Amino acid sequence: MGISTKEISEVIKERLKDFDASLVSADVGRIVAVGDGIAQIYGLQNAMAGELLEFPHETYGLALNLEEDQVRSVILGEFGHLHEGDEVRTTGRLLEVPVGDELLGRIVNPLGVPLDDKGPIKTTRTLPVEKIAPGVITRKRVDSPVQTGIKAIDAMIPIGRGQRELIIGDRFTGKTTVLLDTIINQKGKDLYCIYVAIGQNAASVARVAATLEENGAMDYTIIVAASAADPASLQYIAPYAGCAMGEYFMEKGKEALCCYDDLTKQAWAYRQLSATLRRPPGREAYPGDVFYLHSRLLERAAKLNQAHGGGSLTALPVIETQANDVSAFIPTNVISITDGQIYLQSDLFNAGQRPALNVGISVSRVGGDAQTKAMRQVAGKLRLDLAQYRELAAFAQFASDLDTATRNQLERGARLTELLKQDKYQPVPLGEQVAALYAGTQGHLDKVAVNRVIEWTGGFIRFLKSDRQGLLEAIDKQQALDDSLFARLNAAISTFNHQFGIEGYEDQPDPAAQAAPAASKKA
Amino acid sequence: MATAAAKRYARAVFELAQQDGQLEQWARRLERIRELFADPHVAAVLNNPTIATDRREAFVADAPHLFDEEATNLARLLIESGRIDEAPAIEDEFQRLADEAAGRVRATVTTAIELSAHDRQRVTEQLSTQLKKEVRLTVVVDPRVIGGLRLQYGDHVADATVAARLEQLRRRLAST
Repeated sequence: MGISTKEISEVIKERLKDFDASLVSADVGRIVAVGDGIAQIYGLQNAMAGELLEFPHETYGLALNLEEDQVRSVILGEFGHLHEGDEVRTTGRLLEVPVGDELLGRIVNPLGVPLDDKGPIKTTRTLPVEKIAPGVITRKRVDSPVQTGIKAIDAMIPIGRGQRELIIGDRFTGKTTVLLDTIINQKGKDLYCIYVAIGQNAASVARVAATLEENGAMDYTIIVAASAADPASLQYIAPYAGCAMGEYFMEKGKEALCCYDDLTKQAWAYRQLSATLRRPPGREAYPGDVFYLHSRLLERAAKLNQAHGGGSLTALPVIETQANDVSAFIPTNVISITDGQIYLQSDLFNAGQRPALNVGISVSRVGGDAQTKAMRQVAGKLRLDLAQYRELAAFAQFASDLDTATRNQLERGARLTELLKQDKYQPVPLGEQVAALYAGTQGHLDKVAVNRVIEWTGGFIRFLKSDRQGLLEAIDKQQALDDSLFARLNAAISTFNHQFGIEGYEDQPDPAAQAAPAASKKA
Repeated sequence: MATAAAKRYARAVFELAQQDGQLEQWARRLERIRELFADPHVAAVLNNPTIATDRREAFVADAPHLFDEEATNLARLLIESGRIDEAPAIEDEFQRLADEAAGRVRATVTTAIELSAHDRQRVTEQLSTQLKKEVRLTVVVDPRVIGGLRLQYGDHVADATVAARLEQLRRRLAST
């Protein structure tokens, strides 16, 4: 690095010249007790709720409990160096985090301090961590989709931009994988992603970062990490900090996606803070305002109207259940706040259904409007077919002889279920999803053996890419199927089924290929 | 920091003093009580639960040279209720109530060198015109402030010391 000492001293001189120290005027108090990340401060009569407090040695805190002649505050970060009798000052500010494009590709803590080895982050703007959610007047209906690249979600539980969709399930059911697939699928799609890791071990955060890096997804992603070793105060503010970073993009009229992984741990951290702040415990020892903790966070997800820039912030919160118990306190709270939930189950996961999505009880309350037309055209029947399949399958376990209609239904359902399986970190583009699901729902897979469906799907997509060029691109571009695309799809399926050795299908040339030479001859 | 108990004792003493017009006398009494109880040897005996309460009270009651009658009564009450550790808090709270009633403000000024009587007078006058209250100034000399002065009254601090400016400058330079 070619920085001479002279240059440095020039910079310092410059700074000294326009340094205008102002008189510091503030309210002060003294620490009476400190411990468990909480400081009890005597004085500070004029402190405001949620105000940033300045402790010695560049330590900061948040004033949370205002009492008659003392204030209780959480300390953001380490507190081992604070002592009884230390002076605490008010700042007159709320807690803010740095925001901006400079954060993309970085791993930061909830205060915006870099945790990776890529040097300082030169942001120019900050935004308050706690902010009132956009009001009714500034909002617009959710009308465009977030393509997750996961067939089962995009087809049956579509997520719209500005929606809050909960991802819920036991430990080790692939919750984080759903988030990572979604982030990876946003490559080249103008959707900025923020992944907030709360209370996870540092190794998991490193693994997430490595996965995103390998798939080239870090260019448009910010990771905000408050690991299990960080104080509860940081775990508590982490989702709000991530949300503020997302709001920066939304305010600029861009689209952002915030993943909170996971809010159960944040609720635990908040429970710890509340207990040490001596707030009265309620159900499951959570404080009385634990609902507001999550509702005010998720309410900040929004789709803004054109007059307000037209940006959006989508929220994908994660909740971890214990033994599939969705009726516990925090899961019911977050289910009631969000616009739908994706339910992952460990028995499906262990049965090899990955993603282990339970399509029966997973719903999306607003995303249907936002689904692309092409997907609506092919997937409309899918949900119904699968619902009937599950009902019959449970029933048919005890029945020995079944009528043909029932057996057909079961056969179809087994193949559709198989069709929805996909490997992790391999999101499927819209065109491929539409083509595969069309074949499945139209019954073209009924004669393929169940254990060969995955092989069939892979082969079919390869066939489309090599022999029917332009078809997938056309679906991606038009986002709707017209008669000519239907004809091309039917022809392609028939040809491939013939090659796959299925009876009753024959080679059919691509209708578009016949039209094209004719058109070129004319020209 | 005043506990709820200390506040209650202080308010009772204050109301009594105000009624009898003996604010100054009571302030002195509280000061003497605080001084006596601050002695670790005295506190060790008076806090000792193995000595019967009336014997502990007798230490104070049988020594008329220590306190006058009112102070003795208060001291006995504190010993009886096991509140002798609250004595400093009671005195502070009493002072606060007395200041409030008289419209007084206590301020502390911190400088690196001893303030001259004239400067002290100026600070007092400036502050009392600004707050429209009588100001009782305490002067603290602390070489760590380097220069300038730091004024504290109630919960408020106005810091115009060289140390605070240097700290600001350090942060400005470190932030780039």
